[in-house]
Amino acid sequence: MTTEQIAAVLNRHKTHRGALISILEDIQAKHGFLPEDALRAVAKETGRSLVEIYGVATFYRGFSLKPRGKHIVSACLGTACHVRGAPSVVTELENQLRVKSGETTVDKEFTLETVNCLGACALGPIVVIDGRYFSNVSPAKVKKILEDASKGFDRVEKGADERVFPVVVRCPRCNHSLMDLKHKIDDHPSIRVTVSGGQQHGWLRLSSLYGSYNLESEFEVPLDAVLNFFCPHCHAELVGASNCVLCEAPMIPMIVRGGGIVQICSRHGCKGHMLDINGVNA
Amino acid sequence: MDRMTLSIDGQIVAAEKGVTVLEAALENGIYVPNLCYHSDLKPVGVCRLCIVEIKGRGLAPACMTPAEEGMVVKTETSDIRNIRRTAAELLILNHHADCLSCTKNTKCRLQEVANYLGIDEKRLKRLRTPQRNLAIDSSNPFFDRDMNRCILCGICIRTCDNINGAGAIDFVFRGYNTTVGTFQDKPLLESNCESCGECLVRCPVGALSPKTSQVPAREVKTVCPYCGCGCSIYLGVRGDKVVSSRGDAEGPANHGRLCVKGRFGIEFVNHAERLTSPLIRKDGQFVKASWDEALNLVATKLAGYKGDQFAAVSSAKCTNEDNYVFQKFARALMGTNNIDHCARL
Amino acid sequence: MSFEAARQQATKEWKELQSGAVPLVYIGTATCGRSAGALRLLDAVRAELDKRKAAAQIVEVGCLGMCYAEPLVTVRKPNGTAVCYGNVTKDRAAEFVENCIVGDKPPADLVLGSIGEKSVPGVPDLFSIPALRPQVRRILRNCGSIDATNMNHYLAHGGYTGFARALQAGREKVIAELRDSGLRGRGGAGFPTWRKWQFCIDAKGDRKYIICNADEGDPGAFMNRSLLEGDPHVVLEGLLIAGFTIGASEGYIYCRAEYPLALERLRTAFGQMEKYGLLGDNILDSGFSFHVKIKEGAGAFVCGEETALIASIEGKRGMPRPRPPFPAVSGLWGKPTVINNVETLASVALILQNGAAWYAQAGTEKSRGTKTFALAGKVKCTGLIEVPFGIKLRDVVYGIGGGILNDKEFKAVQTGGPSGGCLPAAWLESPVDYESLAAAGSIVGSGGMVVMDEDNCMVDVARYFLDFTQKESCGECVPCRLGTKQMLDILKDITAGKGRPGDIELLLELAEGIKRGSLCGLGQTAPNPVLTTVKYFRSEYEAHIHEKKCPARVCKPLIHYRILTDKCKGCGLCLKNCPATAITGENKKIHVVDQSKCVKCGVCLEKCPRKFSAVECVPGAALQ
Repeated sequence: MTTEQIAAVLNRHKTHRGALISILEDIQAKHGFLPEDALRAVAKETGRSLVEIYGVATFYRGFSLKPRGKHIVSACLGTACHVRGAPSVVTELENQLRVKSGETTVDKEFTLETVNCLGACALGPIVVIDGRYFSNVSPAKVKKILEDASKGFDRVEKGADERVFPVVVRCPRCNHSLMDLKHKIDDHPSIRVTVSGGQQHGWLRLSSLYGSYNLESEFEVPLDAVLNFFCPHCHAELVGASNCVLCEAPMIPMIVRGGGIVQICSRHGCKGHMLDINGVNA
Repeated sequence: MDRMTLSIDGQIVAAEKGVTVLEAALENGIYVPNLCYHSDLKPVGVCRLCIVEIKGRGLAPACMTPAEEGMVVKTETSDIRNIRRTAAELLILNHHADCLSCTKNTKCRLQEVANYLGIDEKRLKRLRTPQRNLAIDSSNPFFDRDMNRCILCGICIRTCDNINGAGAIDFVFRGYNTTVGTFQDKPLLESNCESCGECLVRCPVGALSPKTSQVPAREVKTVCPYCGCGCSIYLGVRGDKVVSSRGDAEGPANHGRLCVKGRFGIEFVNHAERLTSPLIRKDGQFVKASWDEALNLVATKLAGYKGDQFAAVSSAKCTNEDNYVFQKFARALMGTNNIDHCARL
Repeated sequence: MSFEAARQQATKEWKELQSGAVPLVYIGTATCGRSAGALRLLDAVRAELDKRKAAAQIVEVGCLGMCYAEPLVTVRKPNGTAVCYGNVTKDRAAEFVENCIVGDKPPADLVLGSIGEKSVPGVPDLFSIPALRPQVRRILRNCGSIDATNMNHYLAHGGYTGFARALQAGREKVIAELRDSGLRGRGGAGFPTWRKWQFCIDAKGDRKYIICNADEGDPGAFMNRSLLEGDPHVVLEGLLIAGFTIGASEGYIYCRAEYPLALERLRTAFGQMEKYGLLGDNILDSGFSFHVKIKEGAGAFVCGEETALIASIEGKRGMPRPRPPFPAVSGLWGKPTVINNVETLASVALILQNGAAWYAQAGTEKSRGTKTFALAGKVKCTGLIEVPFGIKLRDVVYGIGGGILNDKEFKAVQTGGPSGGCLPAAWLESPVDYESLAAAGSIVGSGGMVVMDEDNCMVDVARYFLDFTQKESCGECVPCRLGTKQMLDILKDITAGKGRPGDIELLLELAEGIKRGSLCGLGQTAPNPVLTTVKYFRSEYEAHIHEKKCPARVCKPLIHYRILTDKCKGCGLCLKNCPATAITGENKKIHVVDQSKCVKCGVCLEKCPRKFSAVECVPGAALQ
């Protein structure tokens, strides 16, 4: 994490007292864990002692002080899951991955975590991998689920080791799909929004492949111009609360199918983006 | 000052307004077991030993409950005994009880509580003894941190935050794994600990213990020689050697507090290389001399200088009176205002 | 647009939706639906509709509560009655679209019931099926029938009229209404809500805060999640009413990060409220200004405790502090603060919408109204339910729950999560209310209800809960930090066959000291699971300690597997699947378990064909 990124996170929470936990959550969302240099920067900026921040970070289960794996496997150990056999599912996960819960595999592919309750008790035992819920999991199903996760759900291989996957998004205001099934970019349905910048107004189509920056637009957008985004259905402006950690321009939120929010930077050419699928961050 | 009266165990006692029930009891010579309370610090009510029964309210931690006029307090009931016994037994079970080799032996507050409650070995044996052996942090040159003896009262943390302001330690992790730690669990020496030792003197048990510790045969009240603050200290003496130093609670400048120098920097007194008489350089070699000899030499040499040719620098280790005389000498006799002083060390 | 105009517009929109020319398809896509594959179903239904060039209006809704039958889909044909279908998995999407949306030949196994006054021949009324009949759906009335991301749907159902009424009536009237309703806090302790608010009103402070506690940390409870996902505005309306009444201009919603969809729903709802002028400065020209912030919990059960929650919002370790002072006097940043549970706030909105008298119709004298419960564990019909206080436990377990899974023997029902207790069959006749459950040694709690059957070991359940509280203890006070660990160690020993005579009495003694001595509610209630299991299932403890047997065949060191010589046909299935190569035997000859190698995974029992049933799990360790 660069100093600028940390500074941007801190800046966003500057006016808010008691924002430490939100700051740490943002850093973890961006980075997957809490690196030491980030904690030092937070201490300096918030005027809190280093150890106090460390105390907070070690108190909450949601924070990790060590880098985590590419795939996060969360097994629910809530009461309902427990009485329906979750402990043996966890044992099987541990055996398959050859780690204990809370640990990351040597190849940094998987981190196994147990959670207290995911609130889907009626369908337990529940296992969540990379934001995808699996219900009624039994030890026998574990191997297959892990294999699928390893390949990547919905992922498309592109190039040698660049892995991207398509997202399906909706307008956060009217909930209408923003997908344009007919107009394809990168061989996938594109995301259609309306944009305005300067005196111009028109459509913009983005690649739905997460990690691809290909786009087409009705009018030529100068590099570094900040655009206003609108839903083509309800015409509401797509605007979120946060700013880009790279360039400070407003981030544009869209709801991702499967739960979660993808945010892209409104500045043309800026690669700032954030994907938060069900709390698991990529 | 406003006083009030309350009843503790049937005794009518008087207390200053604003004190807690615990303070009212202790002031009146009524012992209530306690571990996480310290008179210098804000109470937190976490050891649960000082729980008392307050008429009309039920059980409450005495350290957190403001005493009120007419309050009726009971410090002993079977309910309270059970709570205290549970807490004390669990603490003892989780505490390395190597009392004889512990520097806090006989001054340990956990021992005090155990003596008061009466701990039954047979009862302890029914419980499961945790198998835990934490490494001792001996990185600090003056004192060791043995978390196996820690009872997590948090006094050291509150001291570090509120008295020193260093913020070197805090509670880290949680539940049974909670411990008093430093940033990233690094050795204390690598934290921003200033080694003032204020936590050490307040630790109710032997979790923080000085590296060298000798019980003095007698104590001498004096002023710390290190800087201009003028902290009152008691130097402990054994034979003709200074073996310990502690802050004087009555000292107007420090109220019992000391910094790393005043508390731990006493070794120089007994150091073999310490100068105990003046030395005069003769033929390139320092040779022992008497005070008269030395002063005569200085006077003779100084006689050749006057005014701005001369400057005076005095020491914070000297008394105010000495420094006054010294500046008087510089101004009146040497005729210069070039006077400075090392207030820091 | 005025509030009234917005309401009329919303009602019109809703009516238009209901009377559209194409079938209306509601698909439940809350977290539970998604776990059962609702999103994959949604895709499949869309694709199948496209294939048939058929039009339908699809609405994503929250959860109807019948988790056992997820994914749930409700279809309303133009001018027809809505019919609810269950277990509509992706594989059956084609069949479903063909017969239930496009055509009219619904497969019998998918039909759950009809919704509405007009009946459909051969289809029962949904709300008269056993799983729903005993329920009184008030808080959950919109869950599963409106689009949670569309505020107009909420407005069309009387939404925010309660708040509008509060604005008009003034705070004294609101307090009086709440007092008359008899509403008690739904977070667990059951403290009268109006009194809590009154304390805060009476407390001096230049600023006051209202916090919605959505840190639903009890394992086995998901009422708040479902409500926030299915009808977030009812909670936010309650929050507005609370803010207005206690004089707070700032509110917080403290929600678990484990509930991403609920958080998303809340954020969407905020945007809509702002648009309608229900959030921000000078709301509805009343002079009342109110702002809300979301705080995501970072994973600490103890933060459900009020003072710990406050510490967490202040950016500190979530450590509770002794009370008094109570948060209503000195809470967030030292200011008077009210903290209410999600369901409490939703109830407040309903009371203001419909009046105290209406509210008090349901429930008992001391426990008024309805309560949502998350019914889970070993019942046939798991799900989110809402029942009037006073309903018998039996009616919940056997009525709504449909009885025990696989018709096994009921053993216990656990209420109140880690703070509650396990109640045996004898308590099935007792009513569900604050007082009765407390008398039984448990609590209503936030509303988790986990049913256990003969295959659940009660010592193991107690161990599970102590393991939970021990890990979730903040570590601050001595009885909780060390006491829960001590109890856990003893329970671990008992379940491992290392229990000693006197351990039961020791557990009871420790429990008393921890309950009475702990600083906050977590420690004060942590021993409840042990106390109730010892009280009602002491013989199980004794079997573990004295006979070294686990009667329910759960605790691995206290069971063993064996192959019955008279039943084994030597098929070799068990041998092939044994992960520990502990089974030996030649083809067509009797197989044997090598007890020294057996890891007691139970795979052999699972794999042995039912017609042979040659593998048996026996309580007690094997004789070597």
